[in-house]
Amino acid sequence: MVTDPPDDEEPLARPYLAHDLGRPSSGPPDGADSAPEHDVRPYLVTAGRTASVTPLALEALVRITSRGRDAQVAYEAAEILHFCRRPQSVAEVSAHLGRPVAVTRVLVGDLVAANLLTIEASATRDVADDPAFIERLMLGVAGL
Amino acid sequence: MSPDSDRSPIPVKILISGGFGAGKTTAIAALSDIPPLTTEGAMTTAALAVDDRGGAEGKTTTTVALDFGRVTIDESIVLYMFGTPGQDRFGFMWNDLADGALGGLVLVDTARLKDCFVAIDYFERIGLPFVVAVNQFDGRENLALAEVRVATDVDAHVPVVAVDARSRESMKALVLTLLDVLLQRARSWEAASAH
Repeated sequence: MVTDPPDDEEPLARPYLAHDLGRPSSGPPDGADSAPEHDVRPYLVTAGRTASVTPLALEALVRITSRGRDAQVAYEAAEILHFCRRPQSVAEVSAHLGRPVAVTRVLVGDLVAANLLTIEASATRDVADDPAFIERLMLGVAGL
Repeated sequence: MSPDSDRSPIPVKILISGGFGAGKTTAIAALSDIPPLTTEGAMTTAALAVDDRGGAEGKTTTTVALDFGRVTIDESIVLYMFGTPGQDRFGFMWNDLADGALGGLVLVDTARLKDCFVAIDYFERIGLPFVVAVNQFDGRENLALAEVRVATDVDAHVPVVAVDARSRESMKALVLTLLDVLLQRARSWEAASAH
């Protein structure tokens, strides 16, 4: 462990009311893109990078391109390309690789940038405004 | 462009929130086509967990498990369910998870009612439609739904319902409750914009 856990107590009620969205005072200081973690081995595979070159939602579907099918790549990249012969979400790629989401995003982002993978679709809240789409969803869920 | 002729499905996403041990993973498993997958959601540093489950205080880790499942709705829609880490210490992850989400399910364990406050609070703040679902564990004394509504102080239009997170049918009904909230919203917007 790199640091000790904060010893403040669990808030008793609705703690976000008192804080800016997503930045609770008891939380880590927005560590996502700062402060490289020297104790975490997975980032070796990203050459220490923690930010993807491409914005990638967890549920974004990525798929191999024709160029990707012919590409000669190694290790994680090869594993990802093989896995993405069918559209897969970034989250699924992460679980498949056994790598944290942040690492997976960097790796997938590189492959997208190299045109070996393509982002097929991301979730959008826009569909929530479409009653017909919601009804279709309801029909699908009811029929599960 | 993809060389494949078949089109990718449209991914949609809902969040399944609630305190540690409220049944998030069970709920995902009940609906998912695939066994729930787990990945590490923590980014780089200092994601320190202190699980608030009796006796487990002090357990720390630098990563947070992120459970998710997938449901094929039809040939062109796939629904992803993400279990959000219940503790507010992971608040920094929530914007990421909520981006693009249609709505949220807040699972409540009445023995630890306050654990759901973080999720309710967050969903209210970002205006994400949600349903409060009281998980009916076996042999547990449960608060009445009305009591949960009072305790959580959610708006009148937010459904507060009972669920058995282990049951596929019960989870289907819960998701339909959320979708119905979305449908009412979409219809009212459509009606409003028609004037």
